Amino acid sequence: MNVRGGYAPKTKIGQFLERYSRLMLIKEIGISGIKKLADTRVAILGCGATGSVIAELLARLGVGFIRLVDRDFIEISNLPRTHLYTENDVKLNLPKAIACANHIKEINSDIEVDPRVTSIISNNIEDLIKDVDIVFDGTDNFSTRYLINEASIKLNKPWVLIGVERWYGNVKFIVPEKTACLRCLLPIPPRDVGNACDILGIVNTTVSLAASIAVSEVLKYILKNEIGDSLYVIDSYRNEVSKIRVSRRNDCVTCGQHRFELLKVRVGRARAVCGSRQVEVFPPKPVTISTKDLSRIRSDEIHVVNATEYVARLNVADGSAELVLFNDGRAIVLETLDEEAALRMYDKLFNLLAKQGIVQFKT
Amino acid sequence: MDFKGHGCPDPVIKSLDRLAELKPGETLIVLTDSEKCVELLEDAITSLDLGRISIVKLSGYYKIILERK
Repeated sequence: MNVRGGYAPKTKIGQFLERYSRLMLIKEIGISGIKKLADTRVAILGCGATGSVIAELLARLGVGFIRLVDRDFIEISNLPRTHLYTENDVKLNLPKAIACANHIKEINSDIEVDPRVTSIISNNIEDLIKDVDIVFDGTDNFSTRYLINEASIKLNKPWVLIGVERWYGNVKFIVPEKTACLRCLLPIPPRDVGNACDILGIVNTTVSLAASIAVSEVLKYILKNEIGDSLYVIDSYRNEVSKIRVSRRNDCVTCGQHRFELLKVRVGRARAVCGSRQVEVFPPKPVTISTKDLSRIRSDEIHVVNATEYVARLNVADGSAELVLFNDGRAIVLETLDEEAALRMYDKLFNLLAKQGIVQFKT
Repeated sequence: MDFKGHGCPDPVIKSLDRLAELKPGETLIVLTDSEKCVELLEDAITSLDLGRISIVKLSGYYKIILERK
C-alpha cells in the first residue's frame, strides 16, 4: 500500500496519514486529496522571496515532487524577505536551490526534492518543466516570466505568475487554453528596470500573502480541477486584496497564435544579468568544477575569497574583478556589463583551472 | 476494532494500519459512531485502492467491514 510521490513504502499507511491527519479532515481535501497532492509534481522557478515561501507551503502540504531552480546564492540581504533561510546558510555560501532543498527535506522527508543550481534561460527551460504538472514563478523579472509563459503554453503546463514589490503584489493562475496568459494581460513586455528586490525593496508580509494566494489557487486546481481566472491585486499596506477578471485575447501572440519567439533565442556564453551590473558566463562544454578545491590553486592571478562544494568567490586579475564560480562551471562576473571582457576573463580562468585538474569534463 | 466514542481521525489511521497487516482477502471490522470517520475510511479505501468496504448503519453507530485487497 503506497502512494506515488515519495511516500516511503516502509512507512505504514496510517503513519503516513498521521502527518496529514488534520488536513484530511477538511471536506475539500480528505484522503483522496492527500493522495492527489502526493502525486503532484511541481517546479518552482526562482527560490528567493516568493519561491521559498511556496516551497515551504508545498512541502508541508505533502506535494510529492518539488523541483527547485535558482542560479543564485544566499546573501544576508535576502534574510528579511525570504522564508526558510538562515544566517548559517549565508555563512556557508549556499546556493538558494540547495539551501531551500535542505530545509524543506527537514520539514518533510517523504517528498522528493530536486534542486537545480542553474539560470532559467531559453536553452534549458523546457527541460526544467517538461516532467512536472505545475510551474510556480519565483522570479524577479519580466524577461524570465515571458519565457516561462511561452514554455508553459507550448508544453501545456499550468503556471502561476507572482509579482511582488514594496507592499504590493499580483498573482495570476494561468492554464493554457483555459485562461488568459501573461501576454494576454500585457501584450507588450514591460522593460525590466532593475531587480525589484534591490531597487524597490519588498515587505515580507506581501510575499507571504501573494505566495499563499498562489498556492491556494493551485490547491483548488489539484483537488477540484477548479480554475481561477482572476488577477489578484494585493495591497498589504492597506490589507486589501482585489480581483480583476482577465479575458483571453484571440490575437495573443503566445496563447492565441502559438508563436514562441523567446524560446527560439539561444543564449550565448555570456549575457548581462537582467537588472544588475553582472555578466553571467557559461562554460564552453558541460563540466563539473570542484569549487571546494580552489583554495589549493597556486596562481598570482587568482585569490580565493571563499569556497564551498557548490560555489566559490574569487578575485582575479590583480583584484580588479570579482566573480562567483559555481560547480557547474557557470560564473557571475560582478560589477560589469561588458560581456566580451567578462568572457575573456572567464576563459583565461577556465583554462588555468583545467590545467590544474580542477575541471572535470562531462562525457 | 471498536472505536465508538472516539473522535476522528485517530480511528481511521489505526484501522488503516491494522488493515495493512492483513493478508489479501482477510477482513477487518470497525465500529464507529463518527460519520467523519466513515467518510474518510470510504475515501481512503477507494482513492488508495486498498480493498473493499461495506458500511452498515446500526442503532447509533456504524459497522464497517474492510476487506484487504
